[in-house]
Amino acid sequence: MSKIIEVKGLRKSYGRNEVLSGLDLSYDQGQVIGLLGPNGCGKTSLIKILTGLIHDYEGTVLIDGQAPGVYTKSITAYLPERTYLAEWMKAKDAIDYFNDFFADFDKVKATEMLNRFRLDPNQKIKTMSKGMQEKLQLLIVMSRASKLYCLDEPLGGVDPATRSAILDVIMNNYADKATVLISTHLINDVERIFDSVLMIGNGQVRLDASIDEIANSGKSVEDIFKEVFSFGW
Amino acid sequence: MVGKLIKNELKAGIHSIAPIYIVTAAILGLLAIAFAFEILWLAIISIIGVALVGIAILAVTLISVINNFNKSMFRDQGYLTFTLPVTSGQLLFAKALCSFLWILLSYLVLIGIFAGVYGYAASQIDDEQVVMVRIFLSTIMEIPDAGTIIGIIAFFVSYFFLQIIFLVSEIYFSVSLSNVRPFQKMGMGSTIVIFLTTFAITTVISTLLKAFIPLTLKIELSGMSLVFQTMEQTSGLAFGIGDIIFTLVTTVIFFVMSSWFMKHKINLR
Repeated sequence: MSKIIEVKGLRKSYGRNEVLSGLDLSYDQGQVIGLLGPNGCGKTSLIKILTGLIHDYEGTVLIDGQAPGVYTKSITAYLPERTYLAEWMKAKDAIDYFNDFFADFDKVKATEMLNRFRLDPNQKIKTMSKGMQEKLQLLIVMSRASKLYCLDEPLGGVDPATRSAILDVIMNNYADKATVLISTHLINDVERIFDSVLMIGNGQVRLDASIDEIANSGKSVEDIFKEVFSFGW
Repeated sequence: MVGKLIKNELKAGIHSIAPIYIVTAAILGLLAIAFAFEILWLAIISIIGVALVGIAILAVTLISVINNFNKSMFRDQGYLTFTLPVTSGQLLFAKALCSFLWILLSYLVLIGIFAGVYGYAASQIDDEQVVMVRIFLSTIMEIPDAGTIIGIIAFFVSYFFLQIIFLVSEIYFSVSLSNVRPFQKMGMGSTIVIFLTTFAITTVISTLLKAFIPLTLKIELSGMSLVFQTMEQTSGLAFGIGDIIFTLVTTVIFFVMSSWFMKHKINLR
């Protein structure tokens, strides 16, 4: 069985600024991975490469055995840290849009979640609050039965109660045997859901360990994070 | 997938372009009322309004084509567009086809409006213009071979379509290039500068090729023929076509380069 994520010698620069300096990663299917690191450490760049948004990198990137492309996009659900739905769309248009393009999208599930979140299917996205837009995007992304979910800062800018609700939606809705990659810097709220943790800093892997290994060390993920990044990154 | 891309592209276009057509329909409605009840002042205002809105349709359509392409590919929406399970070629084709259709529609409406306004104004002033149109039509009918008429129409329609496709490719190239790193910080300003520069250069080259390449379409009552002379050397109704190959090649180059920029040179902000 091929790895769901396989990265070798990954390098990415923006001009002279190298944000990823030879990353090596490998993950099997069926786990929740916490992608942790300080702001600007390359988390978003890594996710953009995995989702096929960035092409000008060096190294090898394989998703389910294939380089990012049409196939990998069809099995990868991506939640960016910004609103990527068109302003003219209503909530129901956004659901129809995903239903058109993703064979693994469950329209019934999305509509049920829309009702559960008390979002009006006829409300235009541009008239929704930021929180409503984030909920809509999350429910649409989690209505896909994908092999890989890449969630970039899904908890950013929301209150603790909403964070808990968002985590519940993620944990209750991702497909069986899927891998979920969650980028965040709010470690306290999410460490309970991780199966493994990937910390990157200064463009390199600083820690790649299972949650059991971290637990055996007698420390929390947050303690380890502070240790890894306390002297700069 | 291409069908779905086209369907959603048209839906997006309707939301930005439809309002100007609604305004046009409303003004045409006023014009009809003015004619029906012979209200002169309303007719004059409506005719001026229709003429202005006719130009506005073209302007709004071009701005929408530029804006929709830029927003859906290189701004926040690009995060969704580029993660759809489609190739960049499919994306570009669907967008270009819809842009072509919107621009074509705007030209047709513009031509229709001005033909209507001109016809009405001419008939109100004197009958001479109407007579000229009748002579023109009867001249066309005098051409013995129906195939010749169809050939002439097909040529000019194809040429018109090519110019629209070329315009779309030029817009896409300009928007794509303006999102490449050195130009990215300048925003829409760089799009305008790049577009005007490429427009000026290609227009000069096209005009020169049209005038000096000895390849001309000669149109006579007996039929249409290709002559290896410049337009100036050819007597009668002549149309230089030395620029067509240049336009075709440049169109392909602009589309290929836009696709290349998307794949290799553009990082979404």
